Amino acid sequence: MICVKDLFFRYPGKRHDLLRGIELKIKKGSITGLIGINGSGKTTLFQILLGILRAEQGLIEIAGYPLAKLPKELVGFLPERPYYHGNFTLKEYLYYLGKISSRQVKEEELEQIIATVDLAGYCNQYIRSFSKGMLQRVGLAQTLLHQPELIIMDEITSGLDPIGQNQLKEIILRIKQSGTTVLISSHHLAQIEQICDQICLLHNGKTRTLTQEYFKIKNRYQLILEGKEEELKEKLQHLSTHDKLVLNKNRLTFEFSNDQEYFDILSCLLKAKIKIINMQANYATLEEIVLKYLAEEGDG
Amino acid sequence: MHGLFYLSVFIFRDYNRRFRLIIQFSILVIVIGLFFNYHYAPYSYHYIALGKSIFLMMISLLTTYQLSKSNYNRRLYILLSRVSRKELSLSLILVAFIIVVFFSIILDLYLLLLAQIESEMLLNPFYLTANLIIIFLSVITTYLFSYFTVKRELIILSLIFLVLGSIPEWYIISPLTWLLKGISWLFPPLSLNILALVNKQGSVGLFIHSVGYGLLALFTALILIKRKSFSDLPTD
Repeated sequence: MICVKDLFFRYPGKRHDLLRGIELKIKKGSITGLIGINGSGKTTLFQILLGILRAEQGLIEIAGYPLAKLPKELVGFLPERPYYHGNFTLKEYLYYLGKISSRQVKEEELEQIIATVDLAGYCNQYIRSFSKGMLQRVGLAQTLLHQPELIIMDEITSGLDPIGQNQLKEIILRIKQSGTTVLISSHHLAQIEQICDQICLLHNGKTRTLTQEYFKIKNRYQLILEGKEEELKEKLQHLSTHDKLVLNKNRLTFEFSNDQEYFDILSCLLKAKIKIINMQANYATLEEIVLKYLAEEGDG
Repeated sequence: MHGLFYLSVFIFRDYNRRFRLIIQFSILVIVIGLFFNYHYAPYSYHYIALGKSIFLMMISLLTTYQLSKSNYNRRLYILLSRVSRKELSLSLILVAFIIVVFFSIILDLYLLLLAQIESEMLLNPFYLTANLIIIFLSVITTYLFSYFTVKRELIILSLIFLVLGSIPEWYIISPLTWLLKGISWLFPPLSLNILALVNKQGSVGLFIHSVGYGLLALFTALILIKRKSFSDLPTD
C-alpha cells in the first residue's frame, strides 16, 4: 500500500536533514504504528506522504501511484491538533467535505458515519461548541467520509481521556475490518502495541520495524499498593528483596530474573501485610525502546 | 469542476459566517455617503467611473486579503488533504471575485435608482467589461502577494502594486525614470483600464494586455503556492 525508499528531508534554513533515508513498507489492510520521541519527524513524514511538504530526495508510492499523481480521495488524514471549521454544524461540515472530495455522500451514509464515531446526537450543533474528544471524532468522521484506502492519523490519542482512547481504539479496529490501511502515530505505546500489525520506530531520521519483544519487558511488573508512600516505604525497607523494588507514590515496580525470585518478592510483600490493589505487566517506555535500539545499532 | 464549485461555496459560507462582509458593507456605506450622496446627484460620468474604480480596488484588496488570512491556518490541512493547492487558489480567487462583483452591482443599483444616473451610462457592455477587468486584476494582484504565496513581510507588496498600477506613468516622478519605466510592465495595467473607463475609449489591445497580465500573475501565484511550505501554519 505504501512504499517509501531512501527519503530525505530538510527544513529550509536548517543545517541537518530531519529524515535521512527513510525506508517504509506497509501492507494493504494493515495497521502500522509509527513511534518516536518528540521532534523525531513523525508529523513531517506524514505531511510528506500527504503532499503538504516536499521531500528533497526519495521515492514514495501509495496504492501504486507515485506521490505526485496520487488521487486525493485515496487518502484520509486526521491531524494531531483538531482544528476544524467551527462555523459549520457537524452535518453541514461533513456534507461539504464530502462534496469537495467529489464523492456523492448520501444522507443515510452521512448519518451512518456520524453514528460510527458516536456523534449521532450532535448533527445540528456547531463544531465550535465541541469538546476535544468530540473534535477528534469529527476528525475521524471526515477521514471516513470519502472511503479512503489509506488513513493517516497523527498523535490520535493526545488529550483524550481513557474512555475516549478506548472508543477510538474500537473505531480504528472497525476501520481495519473494512480493508482500509491505517498509519498512526501515538505516544501511547501500550495501545499502539495492542492494535498495530506492524510498529516502526523513527529515530535519527531513519525507520526501523520493531518486533513485539521491544515492547513488553517480560520480567517486570507494576503493582498498585494500598497505603501511603511513607508507610509503604517503612514496610518495604525491612524486606529481604528491598533492593529490587522501586516505589513511586503507591506504585511499586520490580524486576526479577527467574520464577523463584518472582515468588519470593510477592511472598515478602504478603508477609509484610501489604495489600495489592492492582498488578500488571509493565510496558517499556519510549526512552527504553530508543535506548535498546541505539544499543543494537551500536552492536551492529 | 464539481469539487471546485463546492469548495468555493464552502469557503464563501465560512467567510460569511465570520461576519467579515460587514467591513465591505461599511466601506460601501461610507463611499456612498461621502462620494455619491444622492442629495448632490446627478454626478458626472467621469467622477463616477473614477470613484467606482477606486472603490472596486479597495474592496478587492480587502476581500482577497481577508480570505487568504482567514484560510491560512491549521484548518487548511483538512482542505489540502482533499483538494490540490491549485484548486484551493482558484476557489479563493473565484470567491473574492464574486464578492467584489456583488458589491459592484450594489453600488451600480444605488447609482441607478437613487443617484439618478442614466441607465445607458452604466449598463453598456464597455462599462461592465472595464469594471470586471479592474476587479480581476486587483484580486489576482492581491492574491499574488498573499499569505499563500509569499512571506508575511512581503504581503505589503500587494498594496504597492495596486497603488502604483493605478497611477498613470507613476515612474516620471523619480530621477530613475529610465529604470523604473523599464520595470513598469511588472505592475498591473489598472491605470490604463481606469483611463479607458473614464474616457470611454478602450481597445482590444488593452483587453488582451490586461487579461494576459492577469493570467501571468495567476500562473506565478500558482507556482509560488506550489513551493510554499505549509508545515507550520498558525492556529487561527
